[in-house]
Amino acid sequence: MTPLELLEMVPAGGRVGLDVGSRSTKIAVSGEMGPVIGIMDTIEVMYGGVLERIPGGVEVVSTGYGRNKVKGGKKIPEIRAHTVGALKSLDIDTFTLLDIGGQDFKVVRVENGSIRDFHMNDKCAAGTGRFLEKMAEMLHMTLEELGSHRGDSKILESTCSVFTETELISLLMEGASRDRLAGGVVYSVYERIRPYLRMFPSDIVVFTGGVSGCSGLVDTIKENTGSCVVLPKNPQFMGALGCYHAVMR
Amino acid sequence: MRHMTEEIRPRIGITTTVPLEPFMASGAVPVDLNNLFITDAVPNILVEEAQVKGYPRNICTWIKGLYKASERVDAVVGVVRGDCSNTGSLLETLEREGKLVQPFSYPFDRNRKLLVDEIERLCVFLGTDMDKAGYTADEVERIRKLSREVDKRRWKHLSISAEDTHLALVSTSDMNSNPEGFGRYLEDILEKENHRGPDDGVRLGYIGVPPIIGDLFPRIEALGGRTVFFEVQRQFAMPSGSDDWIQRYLDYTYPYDIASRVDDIKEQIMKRKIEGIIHYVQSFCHRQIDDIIFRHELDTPILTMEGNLPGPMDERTQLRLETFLDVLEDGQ
Repeated sequence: MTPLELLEMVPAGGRVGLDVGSRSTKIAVSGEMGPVIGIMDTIEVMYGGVLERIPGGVEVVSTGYGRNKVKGGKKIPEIRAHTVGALKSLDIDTFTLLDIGGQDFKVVRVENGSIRDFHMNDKCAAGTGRFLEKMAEMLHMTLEELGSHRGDSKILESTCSVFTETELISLLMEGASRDRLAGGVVYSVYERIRPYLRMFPSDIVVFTGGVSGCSGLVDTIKENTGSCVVLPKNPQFMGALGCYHAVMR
Repeated sequence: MRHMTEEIRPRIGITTTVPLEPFMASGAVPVDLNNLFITDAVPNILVEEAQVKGYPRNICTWIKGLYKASERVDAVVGVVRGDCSNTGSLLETLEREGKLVQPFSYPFDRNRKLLVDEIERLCVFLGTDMDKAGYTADEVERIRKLSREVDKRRWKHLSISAEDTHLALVSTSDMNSNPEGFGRYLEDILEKENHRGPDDGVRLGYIGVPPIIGDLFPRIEALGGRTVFFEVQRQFAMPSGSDDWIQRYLDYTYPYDIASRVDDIKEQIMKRKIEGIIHYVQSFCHRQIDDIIFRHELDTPILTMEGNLPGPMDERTQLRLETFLDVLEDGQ
């Protein structure tokens, strides 16, 4: 269901968790059997007046870049939202949380259910969802297809998304196969997050956010770090679910 | 060496805090180039102009701002040891363009004799001598003491805003080019003590060089953080307050080894009941490496915050700050 449809079905006294991200808006609302989730492009949410349709008499908690566009309710920082979402979705309380979204990644050390430390990318969005979308476009692949490639080795040298495009073109002209390059792109994402994972070494890495749907990246992290990589159900909705559950706090 | 003459009251740019007594004795007007740059109507244009001249893009923004701000002063005293590793090259480029420059070094080993030599050289450059400089030391200390009183009232009673405290301390570098007026400005702050904000919230310490983010302290305040320690800004006000004016510049932690900075920070964390530290680092600055040592030495949680260009706080930095405060509140 779309966020709009979900908002229409929230009962009075119900709850709404909203994660207004850079690319997409995720929502979790009270349903008969627990939270019901939905997703929509943030740009459509903004221009479609979706946020104005939140009914009165419900508890609202929001997070994400667009949280300030949500009128009323409580705002919580993204790291808190994602951590609460992961804790509520899994039966573990000590892990390293890796969340890769549209334009940022977060690495959070969670111990006994509390946030101990965190890192976020700063000044550069290489290695995030938007980067993968651009690279998929370059290679004429769907995002899923690109993300299914395992990153075997380093092929790309650039640390900048724009320069990586140039590099990909050169390599394509030299005759490199698309599959090999797709593997290189996935490996470059792994290389970008590797130092952060090394700062919070853990047997369990909980991987969330839209980019966790890239099975090739999941395998690359598993193989290279030796950690067990756990994906909660609906990994893209941890922020929204975290907000939904934060209402209860 | 060319000497400044006393009758012209020249405006002398400084790149960071230097002994002010020789300025007071000679009548030269100290002008902190950092302030000139950051209070410019369009500081980013100054940065761009420095880049057009050939200053690299991937070098600290302050040094580029200082380079352009130097056009508005008669000469520049640059601290080439104990502050920024780029200042040497800044002075070289300025001198090549015909600007009168004078290097100043805080000795690596905190050696008194070497420091006295440096201050003597500064005296000669400004057209005065050590004795005359020494006579002004009480007046310099009187004004700095007022800044330190502002700081004290901030951390003890939160009765002065974080922004006013930051400005009262950071401006001691050149005393707003008008020591007397600056003294009156501080007295005014102390008289009014007009800040009546909430006294709850997470008590934060700010360490590292002054921020290029224009609204940092009000922003922290709005998010519920209470900044009660301004490490380097406080050092600019020479907190040892020693009776011996030379000694004040030897007790000054910032230009020397990091161990004395760590000791000072640890002591203030205890005294001021600080729960979290914001370590501000400037993009491309060698002092970013110090973060390793602070994280190793301090037991208090640290958020490392990086700034590059002048302007208000960006969304990402705000997000990180919010999360840091959220985590600290959770631990309360």
